[in-house]
Amino acid sequence: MALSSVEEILTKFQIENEDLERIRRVAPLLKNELAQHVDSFYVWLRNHKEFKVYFGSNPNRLERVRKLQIDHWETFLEAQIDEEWFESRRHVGAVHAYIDLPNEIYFAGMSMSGKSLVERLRHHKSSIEQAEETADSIIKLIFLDSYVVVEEITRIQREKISSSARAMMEMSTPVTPIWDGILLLPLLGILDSARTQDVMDKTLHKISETRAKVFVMDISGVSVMDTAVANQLIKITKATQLMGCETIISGLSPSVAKTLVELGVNIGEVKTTATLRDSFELALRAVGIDPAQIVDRRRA
Amino acid sequence: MSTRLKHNLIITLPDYIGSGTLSALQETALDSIQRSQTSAVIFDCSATKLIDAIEFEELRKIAFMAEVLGAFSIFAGLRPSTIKFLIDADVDVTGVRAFAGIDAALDYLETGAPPRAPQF
Repeated sequence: MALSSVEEILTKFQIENEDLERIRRVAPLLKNELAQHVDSFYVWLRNHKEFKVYFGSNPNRLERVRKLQIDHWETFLEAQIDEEWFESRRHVGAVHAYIDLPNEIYFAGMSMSGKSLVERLRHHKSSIEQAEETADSIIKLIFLDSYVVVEEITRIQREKISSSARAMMEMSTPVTPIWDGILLLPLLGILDSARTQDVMDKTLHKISETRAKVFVMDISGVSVMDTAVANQLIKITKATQLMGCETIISGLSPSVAKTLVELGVNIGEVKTTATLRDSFELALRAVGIDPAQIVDRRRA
Repeated sequence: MSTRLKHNLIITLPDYIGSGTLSALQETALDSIQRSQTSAVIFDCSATKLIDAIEFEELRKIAFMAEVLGAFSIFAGLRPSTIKFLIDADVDVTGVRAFAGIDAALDYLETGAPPRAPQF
């Protein structure tokens, strides 16, 4: 994060140099009480189920996290908001994302910690100049701190979702050679334009790689068939034709056939069959194999 | 660039189709069919990085002209990325005979081609 971005984000959160100065001024006083501050956090956390989930069976972890928390609040009170500070908060976010900490307990914990710091500050009110303004500054910085952590958690979650979607996409288009010159793709679920593009990409590359002559696309598992989906399928058949590969669409149910006719979809010269078996037979004939011979060979 | 293989004429399209490429290609293909016995014209597109919809339509017309002169017309080696581009552009592929590569096209001509080319 560039320095200008740091300044920009501080401006957005209405954190001025004056706020940071105020926090730095009370830092020595509050740093003396950080052990009690963190202890009060754990007293509070013990009343919630998350304590048992994350620390119940591991006292060593509790001690380690407690120390890290003291470090965290020390850097908070030093109020040196630079790239290193942002990085340390992002690291906290990454750890929280890793352990799958619910946002609810994180926000509740930050709220509790803010309250604890402000109460300690008010306790020393008589010896501090601008105590109320300093309390406001602390709250503003706690908001920024929480934001950076949660933003990192969200970023990691977004990354996880998009990588799962990619993996799902990979699994959803298994174009497989089932015979010399014959490719099969069983399609399941919803066929949208992004998925059709993926089917087209994978199929064309597989044809180019295997030099297949027939491509059987089984749509018995496609849940919705409308004009858009039908047109996408026809596009795929046209594309494979340009690679010298004939497409046979199998698994058309009576209701799909009815829908296509009622919608006035022109399937042109696309070969379609009701069952995968029929498509496979056609495919075998297209590559010069008599299906009857295969049956005879099996029986022999 | 064109090569003759038995009675087949193989026309290799360049990396990029510049202005004048298609008219030169048309002249080469049609003259060659007229001058010597040509069973088939194979347009080898394997080196061509991109063919746009207008260029493809022009090529399709040349293929049609070759068919009118009595030769098979075959497109070979169209790249997956080109095909995707053309299909997205909604080009008409009716009557286009295509193969993944020259080898498949020659195999077809040797073993599988019907005696007379179907009309576009």
